Amino acid sequence: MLWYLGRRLLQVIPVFLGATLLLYALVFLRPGDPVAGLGGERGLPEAVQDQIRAQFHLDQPFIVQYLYYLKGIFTFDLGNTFTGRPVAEVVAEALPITFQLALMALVFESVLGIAFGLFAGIRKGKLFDSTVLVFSLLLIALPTFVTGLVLQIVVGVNLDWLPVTAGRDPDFYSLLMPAVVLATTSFAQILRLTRTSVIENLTADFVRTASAKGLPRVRVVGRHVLRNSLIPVVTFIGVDLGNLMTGSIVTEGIFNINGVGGTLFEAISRGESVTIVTLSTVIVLVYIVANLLVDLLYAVLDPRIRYA
Amino acid sequence: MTTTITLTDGATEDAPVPAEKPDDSSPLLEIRDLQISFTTATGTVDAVRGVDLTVYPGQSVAIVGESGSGKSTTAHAIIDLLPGTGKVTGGSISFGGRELVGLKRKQVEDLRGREIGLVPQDPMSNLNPVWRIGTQIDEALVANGFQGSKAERTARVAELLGEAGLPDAARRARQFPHEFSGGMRQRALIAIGLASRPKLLIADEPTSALDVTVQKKILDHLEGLTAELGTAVLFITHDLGLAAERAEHLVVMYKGKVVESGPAAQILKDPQHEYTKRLVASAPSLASRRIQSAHERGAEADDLLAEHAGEPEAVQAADDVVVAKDLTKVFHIRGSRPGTHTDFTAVDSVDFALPKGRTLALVGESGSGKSTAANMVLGLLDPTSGTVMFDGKDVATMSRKEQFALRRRVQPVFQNPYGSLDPVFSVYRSIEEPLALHKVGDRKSREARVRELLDMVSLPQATMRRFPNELSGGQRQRIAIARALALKPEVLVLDEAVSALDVLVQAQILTLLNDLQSELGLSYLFITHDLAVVRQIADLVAVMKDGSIVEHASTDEVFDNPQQEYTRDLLAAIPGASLEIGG
Repeated sequence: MLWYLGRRLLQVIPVFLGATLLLYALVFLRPGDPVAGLGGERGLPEAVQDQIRAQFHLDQPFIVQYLYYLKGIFTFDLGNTFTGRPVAEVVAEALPITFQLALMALVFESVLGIAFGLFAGIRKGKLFDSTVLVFSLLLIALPTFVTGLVLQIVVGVNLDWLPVTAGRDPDFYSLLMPAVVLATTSFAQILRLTRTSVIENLTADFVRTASAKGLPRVRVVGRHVLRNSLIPVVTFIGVDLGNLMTGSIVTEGIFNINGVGGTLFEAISRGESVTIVTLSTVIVLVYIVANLLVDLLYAVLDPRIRYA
Repeated sequence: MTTTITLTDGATEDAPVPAEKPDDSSPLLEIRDLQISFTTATGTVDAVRGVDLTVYPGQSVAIVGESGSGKSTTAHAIIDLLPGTGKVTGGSISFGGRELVGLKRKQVEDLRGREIGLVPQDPMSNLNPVWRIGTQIDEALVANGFQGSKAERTARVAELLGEAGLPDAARRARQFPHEFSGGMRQRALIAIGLASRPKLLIADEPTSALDVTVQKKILDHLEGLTAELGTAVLFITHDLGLAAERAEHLVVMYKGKVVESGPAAQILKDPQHEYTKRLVASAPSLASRRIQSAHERGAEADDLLAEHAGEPEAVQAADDVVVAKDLTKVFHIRGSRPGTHTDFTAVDSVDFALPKGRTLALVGESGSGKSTAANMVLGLLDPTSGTVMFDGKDVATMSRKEQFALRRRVQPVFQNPYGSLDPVFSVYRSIEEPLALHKVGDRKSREARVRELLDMVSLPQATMRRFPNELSGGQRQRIAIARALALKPEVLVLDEAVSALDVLVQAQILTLLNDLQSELGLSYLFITHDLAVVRQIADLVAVMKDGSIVEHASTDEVFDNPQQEYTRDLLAAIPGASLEIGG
């Protein structure tokens, strides 16, 4: 088990290096000079531009810039944005908000998705199942900004139940609606995945054997169908945690939240390579950790999996 | 086993067909005119059409039939566990005088486990992989009203497992199903089935997934246990020999109807119905000789056989199309720590020779290395050491091109006809693919060849436009054979090619293989666990155990005069081997 953990954590190193290099290269290949655009209409004087270029090593070849960046990371200095704020500070501010949002969305989609999916699976072909299926298809098909705007108008403006936007330092309450919007697509997917998995397991031989033992229906479903059905669902949830972190760009935009998504969007439009690469790398690391957690959770759900 | 048959034997001679009464007690289970149908997209299918069946307390009754005969459906209807859209549409099932059809769910749940136990068919899929064995027995106790503390239940679980013949039961109860072998799992399932001491145990093909020797041990044990507990047993099986050996009373089902029922010995000796007669005639466990067509060849071939029979390895290489010498395969299994590994020798310096136009059977139980050996002959696995010679040439030293050419001459047919055909390929595409891959002929000539091949395996040419899911297991296996023959190979490697088929279909396929062999001069390397099939098809037998060949001789010699203890055990374990069959 420890060996396995160690091996998995060692894998983080090449993934980290590869991801940063690739991201850096992509940002570097971007056309246009970020410094030239800094001074607005009139532009900055040549000398000031050169000074900024030198300060951020923009006059050096790509690989040198990359190495400077790596050196910065290992000395815990992520550099500054063009406006002079430390990147670390920007990330530290954005990350917790997005993380809270993603986590809330994750709880919504998992709990509701699994519950609805289980119920639909058990009552396959009945009215509830058919309704839920159509409804979930609708949720998958609708883009986030549509569900977001509709909820804003109905729940936020017309009914006045929840705040319309979150703004700075949002509390749990004001994040509720964004979290629901963020969760909708994944909720529908988890629901469908659970449903399929439950239907498949309901016809499994061991479920029939459990019934033949004389177990009441509730126990057959709870002990023998649900736990086995969760195994594929857990994979999806793990990958989805990463998606929630990035997928929040649109949602954060709609609800005016200063999270990773919003910050990343701004950085891209300004061409701040250091901020882009750092935030993207954080997202990559979240993916890696989430997948590791999923793999460990697997072993809890399925004793056939033993890590060695 | 044999004793039960002699017991009933005397009483049966004059007994009427429906059922013989062991004593004056009233029947435990009485099924009258049972009708079951399934609703499908195209209408209703009547799976069971008027079945009558009686089981007395303590009696053992076997339902025999091929897949689709409705035998399992009948058994599952008793405890209301019909799959999918299955519904009892008529008739009655009475258990201890109580009508079971139309019971409420709660009432059926009370009945299951407590009154009627089930030992299901496939031990691999019938235990939930995510719960400990002990937990799965424990929940059966709890559900059926076992009064006692947690510690008492744990003790009882160990007791039940021990009773089912599992040594070291207390420790085993804490293990998970994947840590158990097939035989051990089946014992755990028997423990579950008998946990609450039911009056009737339904054993649905309880051992068809197991090796013959394991099968024999488990059935012997089950028989002793149920006799001791006075449990009535309803056996479901496709194996007539097994049924006759294990049950006092047989019920033969065909296409949803009972075609014949009566005392086991009587049915075997004097089958009345046409279907039963065919079943008795083609039951492989009861057959005693090589299928004929192979013997119709000239005296020259017989001389060759005699020569081989004496010293199989000493024959000149020219006569042997495949020769394996000192063949060894070692698998490295990664250990729990980095850098450590253990070696597992799957095949241990094995020698065998397959003469041209003949059949060599590699026989052994699961894990004996027979399939690994076959895969090396097919070139799908590289031997760790030793050689496979094909027509006098070492396969290992061949160039890639020569190996590609070799693929045309050696073709496989695998066990599972459901898995070995690509479901999205039409039959035509499946058979044509090897031809296209080896660039044989143009489209037109390839189509002609596919038609010819379908003729060869006795399927209508129209089949080529159909898809595997529209075909039965036997038809699929014929297609797999047609595909293997497409490139006109010299050698077919048949890896358990008939094991998944019903007896009658199995007999048809074996006859087909025999005819093709004498027609096309094919050589077969026949991999099987079933000695009864070997008797029907093979000229030579190599018995494998733990990676080594323990006995290698002609089929007649192995069957009439086995030299090794292990071979004798295998022969003794064939169900029905000890029975005398008439008709």
